[in-house]
Amino acid sequence: MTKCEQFDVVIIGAGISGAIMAQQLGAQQKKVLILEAGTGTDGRFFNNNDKKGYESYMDTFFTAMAKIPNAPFPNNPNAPQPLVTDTRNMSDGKPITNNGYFVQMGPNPFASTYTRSEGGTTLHWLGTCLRMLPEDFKLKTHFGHGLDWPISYDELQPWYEVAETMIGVSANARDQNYQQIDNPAVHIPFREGYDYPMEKIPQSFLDNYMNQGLQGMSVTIDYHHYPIKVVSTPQGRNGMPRGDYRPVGAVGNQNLGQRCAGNSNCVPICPIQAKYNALKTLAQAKTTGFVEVRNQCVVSDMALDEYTHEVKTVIYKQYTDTQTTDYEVKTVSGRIVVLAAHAVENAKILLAAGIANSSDQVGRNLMDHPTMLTWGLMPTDIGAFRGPGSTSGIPSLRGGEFRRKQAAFRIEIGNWGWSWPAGAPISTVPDLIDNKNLYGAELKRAISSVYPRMFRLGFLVEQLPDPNNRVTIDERYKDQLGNYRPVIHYQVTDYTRAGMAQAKQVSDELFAYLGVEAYTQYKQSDPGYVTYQGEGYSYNGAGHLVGTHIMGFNAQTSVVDKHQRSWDHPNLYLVGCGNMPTISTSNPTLTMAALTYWAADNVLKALEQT
Amino acid sequence: MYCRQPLRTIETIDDLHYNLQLAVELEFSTLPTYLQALYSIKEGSNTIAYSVIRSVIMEEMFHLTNAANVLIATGGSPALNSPEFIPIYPTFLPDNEKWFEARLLKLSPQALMLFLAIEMPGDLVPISMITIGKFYENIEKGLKYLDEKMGADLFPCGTLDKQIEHKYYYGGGGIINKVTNLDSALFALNAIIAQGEGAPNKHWDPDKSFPLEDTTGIESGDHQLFMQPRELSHFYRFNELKKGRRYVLGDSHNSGPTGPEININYDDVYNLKPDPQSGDYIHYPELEEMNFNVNVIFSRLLDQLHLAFNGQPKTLETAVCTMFSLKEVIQILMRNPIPDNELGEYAAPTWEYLSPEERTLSSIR
Repeated sequence: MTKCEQFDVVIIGAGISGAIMAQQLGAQQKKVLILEAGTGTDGRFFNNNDKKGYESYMDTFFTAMAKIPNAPFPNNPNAPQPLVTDTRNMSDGKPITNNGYFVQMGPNPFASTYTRSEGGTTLHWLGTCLRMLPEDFKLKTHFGHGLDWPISYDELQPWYEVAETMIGVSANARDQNYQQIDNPAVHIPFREGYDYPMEKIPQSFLDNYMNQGLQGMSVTIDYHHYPIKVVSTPQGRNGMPRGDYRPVGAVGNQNLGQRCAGNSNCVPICPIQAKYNALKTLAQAKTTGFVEVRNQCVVSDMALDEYTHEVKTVIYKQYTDTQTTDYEVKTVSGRIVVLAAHAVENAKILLAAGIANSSDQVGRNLMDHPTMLTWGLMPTDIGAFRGPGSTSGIPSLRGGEFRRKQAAFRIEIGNWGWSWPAGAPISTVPDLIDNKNLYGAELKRAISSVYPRMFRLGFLVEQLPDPNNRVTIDERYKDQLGNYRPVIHYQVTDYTRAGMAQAKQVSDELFAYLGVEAYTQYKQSDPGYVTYQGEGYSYNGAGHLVGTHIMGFNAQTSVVDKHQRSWDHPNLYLVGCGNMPTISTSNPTLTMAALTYWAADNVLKALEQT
Repeated sequence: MYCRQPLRTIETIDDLHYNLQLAVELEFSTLPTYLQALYSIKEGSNTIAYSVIRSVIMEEMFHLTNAANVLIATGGSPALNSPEFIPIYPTFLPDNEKWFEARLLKLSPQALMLFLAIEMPGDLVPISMITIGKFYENIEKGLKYLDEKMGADLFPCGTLDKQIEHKYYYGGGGIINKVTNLDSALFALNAIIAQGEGAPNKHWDPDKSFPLEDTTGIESGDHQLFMQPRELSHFYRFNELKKGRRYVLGDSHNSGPTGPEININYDDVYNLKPDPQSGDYIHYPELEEMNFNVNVIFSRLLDQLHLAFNGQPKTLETAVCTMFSLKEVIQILMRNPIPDNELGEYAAPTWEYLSPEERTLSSIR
């Protein structure tokens, strides 16, 4: 056997958390290797003969029949990824073992996906960068269920600032502290004098229309009144810079993407990279000269030192072509190993290696934001299908006393009409032509009288950590390289269903207030159809996969400590949303990025000590 | 680019304002020429050529803004919305260069020859000929002279809020700095010279390799000034397109680009009628109306830019939206062949400023 390559740090995964870790360590001249399971573009924007650039993702997107979140990114049987179109209704109670990457054990289908390519899921994320509420870090203390975090909002606050600057978030601090909302539970303290690196992205016509239309509205839950307030959403999307900040353009084509240009295509792909993606942080990491990114290397195992319990070697399969199963097994070692492969993949790797699991919590507490949609037609044109996917939300019900009994939720205001619930316009316009036989002026009239009025809300409902919601592995289910496919057990419990019911109630009141003609329909055949107190609701995946290797106060009940280090193996750090013990109501990427900057600081300190 | 007549020494504040207004006009007059070629590219094709031309256009807007900020800072008022501001193409550039005419052409080898002429570095022409670099150097000399003569009066108070600040500038290379004194004024003008023809170099050697970075193969025109990724000056960027190759490490002026091929497919370009005039569409009311729509939006853009540079900088946000509208109506027009045209030419915009009265459709009927 050839001598094993040595690095200061081996990072598994070239998504946002791996990129942040690499950039931070490379900047301090630590020798870093990133192993990425998927393919990549090596910093190219343009295709260069047979070498593909970011441009190739656009080409794939244009020709894809279904414009789903993973449509632009290569379908790679050597590093398969879940697709939203894989999700099936499971009401017959049978597991689904042969439809897509996930093995779904139920009782409810897990509906979220992620991307296995260099850059990770930030290639297709929307860019929402919300902070968590202070009470989100102490659910158990405040509400008697869920878990407390071993780190508080105040401790994480400086790392939020770092993450917002490094991602490049556009927002105004005076909006995001939520002081304007008469519900103290949602107030978020910001440091005096702090502001985001860029001004808020202009709110859409719809946002402003709703803001005016909802003046004075409130809802009542358990005799408490909660005002309904429209607030601009902080976004990892280039806007007008403050002070000396310089927006970061597209990787390989810096002059492009220094501002959002309203392409209205954030998901699945921003054509100009005005939206942040981890390729930008990877490029900065490589610029340090200390970071190597090795694509097409799927980590399958890790070996321990018997005496120190440190991770001694990382074992991976390097393949040359996505369509053949030829691979070579290789090993590397690092003084520190960082697992940054995504919540599901991290759990999978740990379970396969049989390590870091003395708590039996690896893979457990899988959470998402079951996202319930409501949709209808506004009484007047509201300019649907323009601008970024969402530029505002209603955060009023992100926190409050009601969380003792039912889930909190954030309301996202969608700018793209019925694109999510009905696939409009791509899959609905052909129906007008083929089935309704419309053409010419009549077709134009049919479109222009309805499409600009299309309106959609999304309710991102929180889930509590539940040890039975879990990722496991099974010898029977493997991919073509012989790596495990994730086996998922998942259930949406009554706490969350009660939140959905409440959300529907709020939606009904809101529709009535604005004069929206409702078209919402939840069908028993929907994959995410659930009932609560006799009423049916449907959820979708939010792509927010959280909690498969949670941090906690002790080695018996959690996988990592406050410093994001494995309780069991002193040189193993885990990063990513898997560390989060609760999901609450914010899209998790910003919090995960803040935690990763904190983790990188801890890794640096650890490297200095050894 | 060459000026034929000797540049006049700047001795008064009026001389200075005249020259800075000329600079604004000079920078603007290149835009229709570059945009005509840019939008002639069929959507989704020729992506590298598109990106190169676009990057130069962004920087011309940056230059215009820098010249305007210096003008505002010295108490002047840029004028952008008048028929005189916009030349009728083909035209000599406003600084009276007579050896070539700026034209409105589709992307073609001929258009690239023109672009190279516009961006020709001073080092490539006989020493007796005046270049755009020297045009700006003459302004810089005047600034220094007036700064000594007038002292603090050269930069009157109260202009800061009228200047365009960095946050507005829409991507591309460069940082806009507000101008408050001689140093910041010189910095703004130096940036124009450095990006256009390359930083002035007393010992220019056509065989010396460009300071290219290993990884990008791109030169540092902007690098030191702006902490930008390295980038070739406009002349060399266009030369890459002309030659169909990238410059790489070790390449010099004389070697030309020896790097990877750039594929330009001139068939994926709308065959635009060269130097179109509004009279060309007189028999085709649909084309006439589409071209009219372009001119209406173009005129609106000029009005908004004028406001933005005359005390209402926030209007630039609206103007950016108008730029997108302009692109849309131009691309709609360019998709149309001109009926009965034996050369198979397509309609193209004429870039005319219309007075508010001329902006009703009835004015062309």
